Amino acid sequence: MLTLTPSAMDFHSILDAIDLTAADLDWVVQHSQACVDETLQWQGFLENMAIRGVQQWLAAGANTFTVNLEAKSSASQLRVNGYRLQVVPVGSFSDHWVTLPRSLPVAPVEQPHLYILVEVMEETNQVLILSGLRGDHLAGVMAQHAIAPSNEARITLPINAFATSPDQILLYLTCLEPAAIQPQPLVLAAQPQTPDPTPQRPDLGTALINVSQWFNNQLDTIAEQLAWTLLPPLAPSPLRGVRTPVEELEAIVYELDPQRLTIPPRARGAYQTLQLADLPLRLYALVWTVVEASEPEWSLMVFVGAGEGDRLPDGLKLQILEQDGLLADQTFQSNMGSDVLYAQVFGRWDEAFTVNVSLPNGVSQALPPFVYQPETQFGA
Amino acid sequence: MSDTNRYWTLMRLESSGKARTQVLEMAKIWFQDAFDRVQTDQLQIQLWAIYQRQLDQPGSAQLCLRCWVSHGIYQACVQLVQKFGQRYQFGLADLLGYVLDDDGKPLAAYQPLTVKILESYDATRGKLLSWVYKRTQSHPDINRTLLDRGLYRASDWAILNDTTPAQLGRILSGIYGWSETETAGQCQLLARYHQVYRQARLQQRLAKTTGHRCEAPNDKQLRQMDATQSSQTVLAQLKAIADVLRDHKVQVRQGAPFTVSMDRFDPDRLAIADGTESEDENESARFLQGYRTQLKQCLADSLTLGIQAKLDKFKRKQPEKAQAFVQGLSLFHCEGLSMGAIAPQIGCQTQVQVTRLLDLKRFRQDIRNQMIPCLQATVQTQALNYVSADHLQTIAQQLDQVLADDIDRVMAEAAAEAQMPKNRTSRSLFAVQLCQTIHVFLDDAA
Repeated sequence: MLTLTPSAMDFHSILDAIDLTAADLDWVVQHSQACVDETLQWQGFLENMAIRGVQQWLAAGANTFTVNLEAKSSASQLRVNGYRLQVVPVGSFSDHWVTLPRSLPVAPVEQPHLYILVEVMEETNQVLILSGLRGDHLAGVMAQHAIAPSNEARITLPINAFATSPDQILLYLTCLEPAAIQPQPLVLAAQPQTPDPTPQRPDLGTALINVSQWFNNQLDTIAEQLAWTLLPPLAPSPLRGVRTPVEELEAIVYELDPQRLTIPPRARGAYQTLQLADLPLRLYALVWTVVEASEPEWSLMVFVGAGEGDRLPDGLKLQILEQDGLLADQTFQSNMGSDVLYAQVFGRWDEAFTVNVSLPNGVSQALPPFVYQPETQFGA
Repeated sequence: MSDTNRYWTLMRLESSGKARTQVLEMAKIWFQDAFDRVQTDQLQIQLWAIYQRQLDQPGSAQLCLRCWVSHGIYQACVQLVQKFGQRYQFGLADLLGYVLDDDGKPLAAYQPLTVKILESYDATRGKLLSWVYKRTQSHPDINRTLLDRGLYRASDWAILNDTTPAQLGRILSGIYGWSETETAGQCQLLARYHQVYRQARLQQRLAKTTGHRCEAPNDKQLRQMDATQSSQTVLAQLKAIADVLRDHKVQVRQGAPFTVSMDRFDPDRLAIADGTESEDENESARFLQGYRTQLKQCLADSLTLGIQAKLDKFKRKQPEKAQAFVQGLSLFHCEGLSMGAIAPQIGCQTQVQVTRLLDLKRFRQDIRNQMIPCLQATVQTQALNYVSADHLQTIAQQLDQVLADDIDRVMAEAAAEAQMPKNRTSRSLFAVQLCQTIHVFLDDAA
């Protein structure tokens, strides 16, 4: 039961806050629309407010900075006087931990020189520049807290690692060459790990994604922990304008050869956003049962698409495996005439399928096996 | 709050804006009669029970509770003023008008805050006084007044918008010890809230129909979030989640504020190993003497550049503020006027506006940051005459720290002056130089 506590003196100073102008907010709204994924839209919105706030902050003083937004405009990276700045927004709620808005590039030459923690007050159209973390301190912080970088998870850091004052950030940007801050190379962990008490990731050794629950409008625990989002039933039709994830999947299905793909209306889908190296990907899974056969079967169909505004790189591989070996193996080529990569497999109800996505450079992401186990949904 | 007379005296606002207590004779007689031999610690429990069971037909128990709550409202405002009033420039008179609205008369159409508090109170969730403080300090008009003065309290809806289900799960199960089932249910509700409420907020932003503050979700939205329960229940559940998050956030901030550690200059680090210690100390000493003669020139140059840059920026966006900025700097540093006294002279309404316009702290930092490359350039040229290329990088880093430290000291003197509002004598190097440099700009602006 929730109890009342008298400690709700939750006020804080906005005397040093930066007011975003109407023009800033127009820019923020425009740039946040590009994000199709509803769950990421809000985060993108806060990020864009934070970016605009940092730009205002830099512009306010007696010094002049050369500021550029990185080409990937959805990424919250700024180039300032040769520094790569990663803006890290926190909203109205924050505790001991803060999650970086995107996965880290492995190579030091691509890593930010400085991370800037920015509190975004969406309600008041204001931001506060809180503090910074030097890029050359990151590896030490991660080692100290046993945070292992992985190739798909966004890094969660203790908030007190951001110990560089806004004044110091300005000092570096004005007086120090970026070369003086040298990020350390990050060694990718074999298994994704995050520090306790950040969200627990499932043990991928034994975890299973049970798709049978999707037909009850539910995600199983593992899919939920891996941040899968269940989609409403499909209604394939040509679509236009800003798409929701389900509309996007419907459009993909429609655009692919409709002759070869017969997807029954009872099919259910879910999607997940994942980061492969620095590449945001959208992974859709579509499942349905096949009861016409002599033995009941199920089908798993997987689509991989690029994140908003991006394209899939040539050579991206999508594989579906079962215990005995490779069942499907697709490689993306931009001249294929499609923006997505997909693969489909059929199996008995007791068969499990593993999906693997990999880049030509060998960076890969395996998901826990997909299974169709209807009996477990009743908690047998 | 144990004084029993608070059950029959009402805290009211006089027309002068001051609060005073008014004895309600009816309440006093009824109270003294009913609670003649009741232990103090049992009083409120029994009173609440009578009020709940509506055993008092003329509403006497309610009237006594209204009195008691009015004192709690007053105390909640006192707490705000004590904690924040001086810094954010507000007093009791700025707050009480919004919340002390009970006249003690029989209830008509208008529902005073005391009654709203009593009717929304759930005795199973905690003490009445906590509820009174919470409702008073989160009162929309109080929050708006404080926001105007630079003090922000996020609404429940803003907190929910900015919390992920994963964060909530971690806090409920990891810190508050909730069971897995309870936690999962709350996380699912939060996820559904996000789907409905955040989307609506973004749509409002797109259509530019959003006000600043987040409003509570409406009935339709609440039904979309959970159609299986009444919208009142869903609303209460969401508020309860926000309460936990706010409580946790306050605990975290109290326990571990954002720490800002300055890498202070450490004189011991000047010494270099390899047996070259004494030589390098001599080198450093020579550099220090060298740069001291350059300090004044670099400060003058940086001030000229810095003031010019600020003026250029103002002229592009707010041309009327350019002159106010230069005059303000001069009045403050050269004439020794306080920010409040400067305001009318440069067309500002309040001292806060002057503070924000001049932003002296940032200005001093920016000037210092301009001085460092200037000093480095000078000192490094001289250093080339003295040291080998191998040592140059090391010594340059050490000098960075020495220079920053020395400039910090100059700037700290200037900052100390800025906090003395009256009869300041501007003796710091920064102020003396500024008053010499600024004449050019005053003549320009005139």
